[in-house]
Amino acid sequence: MMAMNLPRSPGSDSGARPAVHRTVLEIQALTKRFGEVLAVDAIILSVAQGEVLGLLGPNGSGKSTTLNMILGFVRPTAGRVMIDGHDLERDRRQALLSVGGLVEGSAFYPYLTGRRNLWMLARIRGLPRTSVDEVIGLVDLGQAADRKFGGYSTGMRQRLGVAAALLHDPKLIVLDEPTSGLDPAGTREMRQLIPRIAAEGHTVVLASHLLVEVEQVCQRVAILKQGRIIAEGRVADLLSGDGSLRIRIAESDLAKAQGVLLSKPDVKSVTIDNGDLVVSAAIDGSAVNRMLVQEDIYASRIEPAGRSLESVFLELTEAGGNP
Amino acid sequence: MKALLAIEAEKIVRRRLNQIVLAIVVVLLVVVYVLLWLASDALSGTSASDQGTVEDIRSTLYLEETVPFAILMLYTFGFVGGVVVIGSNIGSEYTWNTIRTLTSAEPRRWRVLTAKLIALWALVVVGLLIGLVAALTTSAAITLAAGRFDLQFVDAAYIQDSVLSFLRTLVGTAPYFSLAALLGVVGRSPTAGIALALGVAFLEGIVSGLMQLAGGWVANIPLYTLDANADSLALVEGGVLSDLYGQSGFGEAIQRPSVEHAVIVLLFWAFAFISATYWCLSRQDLPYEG
Ligand SMILES: Nc1ncnc2c1ncn2[C@@H]1O[C@H](COP(=O)(O)OP(=O)(O)OP(=O)(O)O)[C@@H](O)[C@H]1O
Ligand SMILES: [Mg+2]
Repeated sequence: MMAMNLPRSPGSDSGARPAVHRTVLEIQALTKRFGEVLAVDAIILSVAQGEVLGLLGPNGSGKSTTLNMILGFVRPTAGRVMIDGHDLERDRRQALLSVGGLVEGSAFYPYLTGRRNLWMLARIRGLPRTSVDEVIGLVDLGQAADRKFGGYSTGMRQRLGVAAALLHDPKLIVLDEPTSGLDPAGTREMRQLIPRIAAEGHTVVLASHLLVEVEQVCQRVAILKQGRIIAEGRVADLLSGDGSLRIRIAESDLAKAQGVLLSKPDVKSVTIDNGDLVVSAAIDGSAVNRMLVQEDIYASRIEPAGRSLESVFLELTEAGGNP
Repeated sequence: MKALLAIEAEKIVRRRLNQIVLAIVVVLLVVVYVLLWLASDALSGTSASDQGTVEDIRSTLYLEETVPFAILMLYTFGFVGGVVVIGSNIGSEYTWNTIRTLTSAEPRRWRVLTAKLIALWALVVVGLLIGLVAALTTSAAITLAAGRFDLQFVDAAYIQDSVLSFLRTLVGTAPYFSLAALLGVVGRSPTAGIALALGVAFLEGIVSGLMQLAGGWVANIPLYTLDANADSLALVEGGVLSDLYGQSGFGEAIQRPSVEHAVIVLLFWAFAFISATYWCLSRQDLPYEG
């Protein structure tokens, strides 16, 4: 149907796959249009086994729509989704059996208990009831498992939703703001749970606009804006600065130090930011320190002036202005 | 498919709404019997009223007439109850977003729908049978109270008639139930399924009455839609109550289709609505509804 005639990516279709680091999710030119709104615009992504990919983006940037397409809830306007080597369009059943997820909110029968809701899912999937006990333990639902879902708090609903996503032990797990509504303890548990399931060999795609969360649990991020991926890479790379240094010195010495450093040929720029000196130079921290000491100025701290994910995010998503 | 059927059955049985609708249908049937009995009791022997009609009404309450009479009532109460149950059980899957959870566990959506339709239809059949049993019980009590209890009328022909009229009820309601399922899927809510299906049933009766009054080729259109055909099946039994029933609409003004014609037209529509339901579900986006 969605004939895009995209080039096959190497490895994704072949029978013999390497056991580690193979591609579990591959998205090619995926597009979704809701009437006038272009929600997702030809995005390309590839996620390897065991990886935790963060999908960041402001409200309405297309995170949930992308995950809805991966879970088969929303039909792409164009493009292709491959899950564990199965084409979602042509081999829908196999593809969808390899993925589990919680997108936007959990959905269960309010007049049944959490446990009974999961029993039903286990039954459809042909799993034993013990698998239900396992995931209930994993998300720490406790006594609430035997209460009716209709009476659940937001956090309990979220936990049950995550339990259902993990129930059949899928290769790929997609989570959309999994900590929304969780209390601080629950949030911490969830953030610990995600790396743990990745360590077991699962692949996780996590959409969030909580930058701390993404920084904590993801190795790689893709930043979405108006349906397009505007930046993608390892978290460490995105955060690493341009080699400039942040230097803490006594306030009374700030102006003097700035003058001293600016007079040196290796120093490109010196600015004062938040009571610190920010120095861009072709030399390293110890060389800069020596220059200061020679002038009787003593730094209490010298560190790389790295950027926060927040500043990267805001810089990228606000450039050009949002509608 | 067995697992899907089992969970659909479990969902239906455990849902309070379904229990309540069934109870209401049964209670209404019993109440109508009791009220008619009390009314005819009060009227009989008074000089003012038409004693012939009173006696007719009384006799329809006796056991001998239970099947045709109760089925006529089930046609109305059971029809509304069935539409409510089907529309809401399908529509709720959307408002609760459980359609997403279900189709994640079984990605072949047609299987999910098939299990649901079979389970709901079984519920309707069982509900109609329970209603019939309630009517028989009430009628037996009334017959006994009137000192007319006697099972002589039960013979092969009676049983065959009863089974046939039950089947006619199933055929007559099938397109409306199918329509409720379709509208539940298209409208993604219980209200859409229930209100639109009942609305269609109500409006179509009025519109087709007007069309038949208009005459000419326009008058023939209702022969191929639902209302006239469903009425035709409901009124096969004849008798004083079916006359009363027919007069509630424009029913008496029209030429009534034959039973064979009615069955074919109604099954055609039921099939068309069900096919459309499968088609819509298979193509539908299922975004989370907040
Ligand atoms: N079912 C739908 N019908 C019409 N438009 C939709 C639908 N779902 C999403 N959209 C539109 O698509 C765009 C992307 O929405 P989406 O929900 O994917 O964003 P998001 O990144 O998840 O945002 P948020 O951070 O607020 O959850 C938005 O403009 C939204 O209005
Ligand atoms: Mg979202």
